[in-house]
Amino acid sequence: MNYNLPSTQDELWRRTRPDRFDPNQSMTSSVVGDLRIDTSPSKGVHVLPLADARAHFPLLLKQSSVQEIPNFARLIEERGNEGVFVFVEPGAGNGEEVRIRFDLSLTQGSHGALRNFVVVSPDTRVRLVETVEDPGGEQAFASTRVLVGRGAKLEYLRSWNLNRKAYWHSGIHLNEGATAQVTTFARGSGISKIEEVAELAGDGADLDELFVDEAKGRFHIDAGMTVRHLAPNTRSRLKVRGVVRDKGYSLHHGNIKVIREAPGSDTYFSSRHLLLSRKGRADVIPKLEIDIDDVKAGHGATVGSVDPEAIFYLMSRGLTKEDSEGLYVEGFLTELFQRFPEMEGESRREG
Amino acid sequence: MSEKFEVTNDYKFGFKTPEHYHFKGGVGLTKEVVEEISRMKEEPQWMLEFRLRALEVFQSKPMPQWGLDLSQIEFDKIHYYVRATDRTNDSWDDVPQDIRDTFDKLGIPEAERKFLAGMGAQFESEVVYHNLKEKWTELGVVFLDTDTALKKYPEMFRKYFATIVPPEDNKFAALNSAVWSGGTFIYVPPGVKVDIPLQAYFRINAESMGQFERTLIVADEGADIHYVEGCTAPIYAKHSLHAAVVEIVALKGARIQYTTVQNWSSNVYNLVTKRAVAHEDATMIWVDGNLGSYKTMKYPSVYMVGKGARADILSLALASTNQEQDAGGKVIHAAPNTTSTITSKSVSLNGGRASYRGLVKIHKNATGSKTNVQCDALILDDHSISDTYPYIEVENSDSYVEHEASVSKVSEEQLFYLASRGIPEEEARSMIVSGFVDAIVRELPMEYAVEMNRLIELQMEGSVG
Repeated sequence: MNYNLPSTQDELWRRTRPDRFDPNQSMTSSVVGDLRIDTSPSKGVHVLPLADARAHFPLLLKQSSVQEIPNFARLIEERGNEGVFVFVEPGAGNGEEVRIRFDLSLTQGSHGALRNFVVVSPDTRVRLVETVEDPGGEQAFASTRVLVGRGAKLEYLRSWNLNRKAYWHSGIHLNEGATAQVTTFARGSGISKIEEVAELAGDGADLDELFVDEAKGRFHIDAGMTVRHLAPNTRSRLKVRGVVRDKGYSLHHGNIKVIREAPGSDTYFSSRHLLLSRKGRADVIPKLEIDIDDVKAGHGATVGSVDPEAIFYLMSRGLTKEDSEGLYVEGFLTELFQRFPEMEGESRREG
Repeated sequence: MSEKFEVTNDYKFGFKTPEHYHFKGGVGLTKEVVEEISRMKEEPQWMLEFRLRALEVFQSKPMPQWGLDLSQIEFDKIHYYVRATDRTNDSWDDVPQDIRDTFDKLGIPEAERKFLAGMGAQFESEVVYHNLKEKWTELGVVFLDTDTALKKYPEMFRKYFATIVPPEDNKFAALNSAVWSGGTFIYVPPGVKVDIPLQAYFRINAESMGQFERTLIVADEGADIHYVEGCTAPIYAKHSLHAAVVEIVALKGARIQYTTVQNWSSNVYNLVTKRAVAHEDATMIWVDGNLGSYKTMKYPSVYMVGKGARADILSLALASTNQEQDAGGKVIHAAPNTTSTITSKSVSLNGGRASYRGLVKIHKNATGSKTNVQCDALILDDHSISDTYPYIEVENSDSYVEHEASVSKVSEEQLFYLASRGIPEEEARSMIVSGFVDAIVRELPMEYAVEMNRLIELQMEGSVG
């Protein structure tokens, strides 16, 4: 099928040229990488490679509630044959942890397209930890669809180390009373384009998202988060924390839409960037489109450097300048470490 | 509450005087029309060449693909040049009677009657009345319509003209550059402080007639000036186009405030390019109130190119039935220690759509710069729309950027409190809106603040169903 692929005329692709990616190349490789399922889930929680899921759960794979899939992601979904399928059966899932790991080293020098599905049945709870390790290569694509059923709770932790040209899409659909807490830590090198679309489709659905990126070297990360409030009394919180070093570039789009049929919605987008180098760059585009009066909507964005007074204080206590700045950055990322403790070591290693 | 606010024809300024033009060009835009405009105005060759170049740019540029839908504008059905009288007037008595009648019906505010002597009143495409206060003439202040300034001060004019907004900037700036007519030219010499606001009243008065005024303001080193423009226009059936270009130069240490109260009638496309350059230690203030028009796209901008320059943009937009107000502001920090603020308040009611669209850009060399953006939106009913499109681009680690936005409605608590004080709902809503926009309105000269509040009340009438 042919889709109108994005061009630089498209608002969301103005700063990351789509022609840098060649999704047709992803056809040439059938091996994406090493998919590891580091977990032995309890009964009723299924974690299996996509190919196996096709045989076991054909109907579930066809079912997708996510309405707005970017065309680029649709193409990836058509090309991608590998990936993982997570399914929490009704009545199962009591807050278990499921760990999956993608090691992209097998695709070094080549291309790959991943396709993942996560289905959380109504009134269940699960904690999903996803790790992407990438020693570097040509390009990689991924599209993940997440469906959170009525009253279900998903805690979704993502650690992405992207060291090549990467396009990562996720579509999250929340039904009535569903809750998703999504935490992402992205770092690496190369050019990364992230597109996330969250749909709050049922009354009282709640999305709480923290997205942290560390851009160093020449890492270019362009992350677009679209939240669509489609039902009454839905709530979303988006928090972005960016640390920019060297010649890094961190760009965040926040596209929040509240339609007329979603009275009582409550949304806030908060973005903070720490710009630590002379050649780094941080852009924020927090858009709001509100079609009804009965809402609470807002955004706040700051871009700044380390507070010299805080550094002065720490140095007066005997810390070196480097350590003081390190501590300052750690403080800046506190919430990430609270939600996703394993990332504390990762961040230290990066910084 | 969801009841639709009817648009009636008894719009306050909805009258029209019989057309009585000295010259009215044909409809449509061709090379011949542009040559004719230049010939009628007896312009120098370089201006004719400039216009023709701009026409080519206009014809080659596509319509903007962002913002509002402008596809209904029919460029072929617009008069590109209309002149009401064949010369500008030195005294009020020389102004033709029907034009004076129109101003009377408009109820020109006291501010303008009082300072009429220092006012350039634009009627149709040209300034028909011009008189400069003797005091300012003595100080060396030049306050003329743009056409006359081109004749009287050709060198100064050429030095600054189109240096801030070149025709290549955007399609509508190109259009204006090709067919511009009228507008205001101000030059304030070094160190001169003009303590009374200079004012101009704009009107469009010919069906399907575009108004393409061109304003150029230069404040020399340490000068200080406040310029006020206000617009009202009669209602017509066909859509009118207003595509102005305003260029401002604030040299070292100068301070310029440019205040606009825009109340075009509900059929006007208002597509204006307003831009200022602030040199070292200069201050530029835009106060921009958008109440009328059918569709407005206007983002006053300030390029801070000298160290220590400052920019303040205060933007107010009120969108009611069938109106789309796409307003905002842009600040570009291109020098060290520059500071800026943008304060935007938008109100949407009766199905109107109000947007904030803005840019904050901190260039690499703009060390120690600070900026604060605050945009608030108030939605008064469940079928009105409020959008926010802020762009923040930072390339310098030694600067600080803050941006904050909120969207809210009139709360039941506020209405209940005011009701408990015996204030009826309609009046209470009007009060809440007035309070919401107060940060902008209080920056206006008093007469305009009064008028602004009156206009808001007028817009709010019937908004409670």
